[in-house]
Amino acid sequence: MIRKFHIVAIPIRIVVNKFGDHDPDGMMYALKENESLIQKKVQHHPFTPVDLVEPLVIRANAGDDIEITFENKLPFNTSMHIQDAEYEVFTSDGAFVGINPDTTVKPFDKIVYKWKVNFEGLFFFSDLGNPLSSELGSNVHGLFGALFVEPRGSWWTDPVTGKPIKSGVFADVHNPILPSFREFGWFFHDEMEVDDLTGQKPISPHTLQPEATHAINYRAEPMRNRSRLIQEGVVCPDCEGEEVHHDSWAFGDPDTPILRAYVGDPIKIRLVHAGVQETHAFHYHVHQWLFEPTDQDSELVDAQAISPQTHYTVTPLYGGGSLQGAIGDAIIHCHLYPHFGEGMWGIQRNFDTLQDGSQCYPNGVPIKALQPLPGLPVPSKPTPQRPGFPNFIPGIFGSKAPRPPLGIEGGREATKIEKNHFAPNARPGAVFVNPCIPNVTPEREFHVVLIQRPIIYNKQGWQDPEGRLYVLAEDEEDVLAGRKEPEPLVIRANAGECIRFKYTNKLPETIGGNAFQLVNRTYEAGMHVHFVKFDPLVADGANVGWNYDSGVLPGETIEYQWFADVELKATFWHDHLFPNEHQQHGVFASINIQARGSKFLDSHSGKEINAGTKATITNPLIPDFRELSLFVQDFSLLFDKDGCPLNPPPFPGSPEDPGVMGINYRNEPIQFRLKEPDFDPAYIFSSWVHGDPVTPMLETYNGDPVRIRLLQGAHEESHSFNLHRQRWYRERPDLDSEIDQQQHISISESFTLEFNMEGEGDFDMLYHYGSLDDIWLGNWGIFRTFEKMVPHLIPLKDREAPPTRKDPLPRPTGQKPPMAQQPGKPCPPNAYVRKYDVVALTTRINYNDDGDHDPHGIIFALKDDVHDILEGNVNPEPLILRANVGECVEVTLYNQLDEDAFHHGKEEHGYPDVPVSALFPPSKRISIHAQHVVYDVRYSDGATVGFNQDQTIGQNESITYRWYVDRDFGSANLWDMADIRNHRHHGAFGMLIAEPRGSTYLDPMSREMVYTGSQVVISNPLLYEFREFALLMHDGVRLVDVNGKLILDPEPLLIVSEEELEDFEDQGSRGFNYRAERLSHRITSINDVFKAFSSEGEHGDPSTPLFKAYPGDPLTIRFVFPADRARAHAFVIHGHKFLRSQNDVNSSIVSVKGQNTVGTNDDFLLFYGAGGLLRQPGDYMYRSGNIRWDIELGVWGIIRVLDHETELLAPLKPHSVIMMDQVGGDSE
Amino acid sequence: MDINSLSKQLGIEGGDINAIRQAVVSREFKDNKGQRALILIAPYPFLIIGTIFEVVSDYVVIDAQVTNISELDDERFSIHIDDIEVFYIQKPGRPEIPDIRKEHHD
Repeated sequence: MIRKFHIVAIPIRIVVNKFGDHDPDGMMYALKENESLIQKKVQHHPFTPVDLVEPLVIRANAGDDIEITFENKLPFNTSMHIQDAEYEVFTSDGAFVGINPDTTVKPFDKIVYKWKVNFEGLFFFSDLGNPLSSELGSNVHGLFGALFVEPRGSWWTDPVTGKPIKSGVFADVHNPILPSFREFGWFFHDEMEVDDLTGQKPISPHTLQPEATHAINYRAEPMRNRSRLIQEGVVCPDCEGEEVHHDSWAFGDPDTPILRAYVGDPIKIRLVHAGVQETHAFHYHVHQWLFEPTDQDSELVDAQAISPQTHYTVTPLYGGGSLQGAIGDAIIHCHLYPHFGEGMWGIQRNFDTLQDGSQCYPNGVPIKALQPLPGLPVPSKPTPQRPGFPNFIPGIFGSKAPRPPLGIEGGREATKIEKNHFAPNARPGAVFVNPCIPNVTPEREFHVVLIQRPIIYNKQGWQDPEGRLYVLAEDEEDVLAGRKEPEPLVIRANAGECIRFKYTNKLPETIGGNAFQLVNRTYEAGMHVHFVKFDPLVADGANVGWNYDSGVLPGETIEYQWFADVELKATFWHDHLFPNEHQQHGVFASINIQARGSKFLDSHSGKEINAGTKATITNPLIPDFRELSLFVQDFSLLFDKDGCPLNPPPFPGSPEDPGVMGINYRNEPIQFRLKEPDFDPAYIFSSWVHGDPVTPMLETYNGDPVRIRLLQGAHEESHSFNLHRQRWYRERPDLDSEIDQQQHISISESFTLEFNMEGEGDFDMLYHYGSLDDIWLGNWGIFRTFEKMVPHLIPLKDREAPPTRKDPLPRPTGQKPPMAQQPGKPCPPNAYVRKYDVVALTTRINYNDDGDHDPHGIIFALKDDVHDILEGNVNPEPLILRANVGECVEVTLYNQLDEDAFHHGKEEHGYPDVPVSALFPPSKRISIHAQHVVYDVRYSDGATVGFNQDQTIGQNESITYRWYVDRDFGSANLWDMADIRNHRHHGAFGMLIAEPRGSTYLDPMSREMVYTGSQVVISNPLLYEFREFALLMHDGVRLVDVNGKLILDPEPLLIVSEEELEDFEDQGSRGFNYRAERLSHRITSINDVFKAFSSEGEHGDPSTPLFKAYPGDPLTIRFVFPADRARAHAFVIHGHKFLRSQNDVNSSIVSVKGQNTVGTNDDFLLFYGAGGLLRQPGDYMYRSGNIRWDIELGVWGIIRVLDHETELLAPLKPHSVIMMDQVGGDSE
Repeated sequence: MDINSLSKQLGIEGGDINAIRQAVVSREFKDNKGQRALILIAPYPFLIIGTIFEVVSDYVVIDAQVTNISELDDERFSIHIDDIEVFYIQKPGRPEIPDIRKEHHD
């Protein structure tokens, strides 16, 4: 079926809330038939949101052809570039790339795009005519939308009227075979250029400083406006602000999306990040869903990180209200607290009574009708005695939400009408639904207290004088008295249990009054939990919509109830009343839900414990394991030992990345681990020199099963957990998911990293959080494993006891450790040994043809290539090594670093800078650490960690590392571990690729064997040949221009930047493979932006790798992210798709990969080969999805699919020819 | 190739291997009526520990003491033996099947 749409890109004033916050320069896609109506309505309602002003969502069915007549009414070229659909790149790419014709549209012109969609899901489209990062660009102003593709035979209706609709973010979708469902489009978009009612930049009434706005579907409900109503005494005069930010009793409903359903309705949220910069965290209260919606083995999630231009379909299990059938409001928000405060939240509302349009909300606003879904029971009509949610709740509009019945000790009586809505088994903490069955569901009880006490983070006296933490009541005195070290509370329960809480708020009434925070009341707090099943009306630990306020005042105690229906991972909980003020002080915790029948033991004494981040879990049926819970934190508002604030913000209360970081209230900043006389960064991780770090020491015996519970407690940044040597399945329940050694995490996400400790002898492995920012501030630690018995660690009962220890354990000596004397023996004796001689050297790297370069590059190169590099005959590329599965790799590394070529010596490093900067001279030593391979950590880890021996080398020394490639892991990062601060961002990284057994690596032009290179042919006697394109995306680079002038990136194009330097995580240039095709060299005015990617004219092809293939050639992209900052990036490829999890045919088909950060390694096996399904020749862009600032800074390139054979590219050989070649070869 | 040679080639000349397997497994359960068994099945509730009550044709009827789901403890299940992925029958002299309810009932 052909579906035709006429779409216009128009300028439009976008009002994002009733307070008049607006983008005067908004832009949107609209259906032509709605264009004049939209403009008229906006003209008549200039200060309030207009319903039709929403991101354009059109719909089709799987298998449909789509024909778009696209008309541009903006003053520059615009386009519609669609992801995931099939299209001809010459006519419908919506971009002007390489040698392709221009498919952007000039002002007041038209084009016809043709797309074909073959599967269900969300197909994001956005403008690529003007992808500028600043307010001059189009995406930041709203020029994006989506095509939602439904199962074949579907149709869609308006949820209010039941009539068919042609567009709209919300619809009820019906199908003759499948159940109907509620479909909600949810477009996150950030950094919108929003003014307040008066046309000024919005000012926070709390800080009196300008504030950003983050939005959903062109709407934002920031706290600042609502707080002003409190300050003016209009509503709730005794309130502070944050505790009622989401309270509809105080303010009425927000203007952000309200996703309405009846309890049990099937729901699909089509979630997309249409914004430009941040990686957000989508969190949906009460509900959980499968990470891969079409894969029953997939990981269960209730929060997901989402990078720009990536998307998911969120299908909550059990529909609206989840398993327990909860009625009421479930907030959906970006969990990054500053964004939450700046407007990025909405509500999913579950009604229990029929809404036919005749009811009103408690503030008198009519409740729009909601058509029941066909095939489901029609909800009962509301009656005066049983009015249904929200009208049975005895609140007063204009005041804070009422407190729940039953739960609060000494609280009020329930009203008669409330009682009419009680569940039959109502009890405190589970009043309106209670999934626990009396006398059947086993119960477990805790009394939790929230307290304040100073927390010291390290031996240098970095401290949080207002540390706030949950503790068990039985530990409160010991923690306050200092007899028990403060750590995030981790409690445990077993699957199938009903967990009953008493919770007492013992916090002081205020916080702050220092360089980080203004004085703020924080008089109310609760326990908001993820994953487990509860009654959100009374036990959400929050104050949301028309629900009750389930926090309590200081001194009050409330009962909550959680039901753990199944074995879960670490289940995050925290306060939801004042999290923006105090979660970064430590208000986060976890309940880890174990398999039924488990017991939780202290790993030291073997006694049963009620709480603790570390435990030994025993179970009579499944193997015992070590459980280690790690909470990473940022925005930690610490002071040094002298009381000076560490990395204070520009003004108190500023969300501009204040403070430092930590793990479980600890950090070990590397600036304190330089030792006289050399101050050599190569030994910062060495326990011989410095003793063990204060960060959590994780300990096991060799062979022990381990589950690391990975959480982020606070507050805004992306972190990247990396662990040396050990590997786990990315989705724990799914054996088809990828094996990994790294995990991106954003706040509120939870991951379980499960593995058995592999290795021999006693050894130490580094764990760290990837980015320079993290490691610099001390987010690293040691995982220690023992071969022989130690007195402080009980053996696992179901494993053979470790042998008795005769030699004493090592102790710090203050001296550098001796060099590792041998590479270890990780390989089977008959494995083929592949040897590489690699040299580390300092050299200039040219990042493009316009003179931008790193004069102080530090690179790895094959020994044979060093001469040409040093002579300037070759502009270096990152080292890419390959080996086949089953092979033993021996890398001999030579150190030829020239210390005179370092960019700084004894002075501070400066830009790209780090928080709490300090003198940190560059190391003259170097090493290579490899991900994914099997090796003996004592000798070939490439890092000098804990009590391991030295595995870095000094100038003119060499070392051999031995790695075994035991499986087809694809891409892996290689990087230096001698100096994270000074080497990595100058290029001290590379890539190792595991190829199928028996493969040879060929030059794509000559088909000669090659030893390195980003573009090769992989030939194999059993498999088809494929082209392999290797990309290393990296940031934090320090470049100078052709005149030797330092480039201070990010440097927005065509405008004068308001800020001198961006946040630390954004400082530095970026690129692919030491190349950056910066748009600043390709365009001079906004009228040229659409031409930026074109190879026509003087600029020609970009300097980034130009990959070549013939139509249909099998293509694999090897992708790693080795360096350097905390900012996460998306990777997008035009016109091609791949499985999100390459070995899992049930995983989603996508054309973008988000959350790329230090340690990311992935492989994209492109469907149908070069040119996609249609095998179209042409230029296909690969690029970052971060419009701010990556694309401008040159993070893009081209895959060129050639239409006819040229001598520049040898064709791939069909399998039959390879076989014949073999026969011929053998006979010679 | 005739059916006899084909059976020989496949190593199943002795008869219908599925019938034999069914018969053997059924007999094993039948012979152990009244004993405790641990059964893993792919369908819900995945894990059943209980006493073998009866074997009817190729169905095992088991009185569950414990399952993966506490609400289904003490229920009676009829399980087709083809659904059984793993089983263990507690016989005299063999290790005891642990009771994973113990932590809250002892």
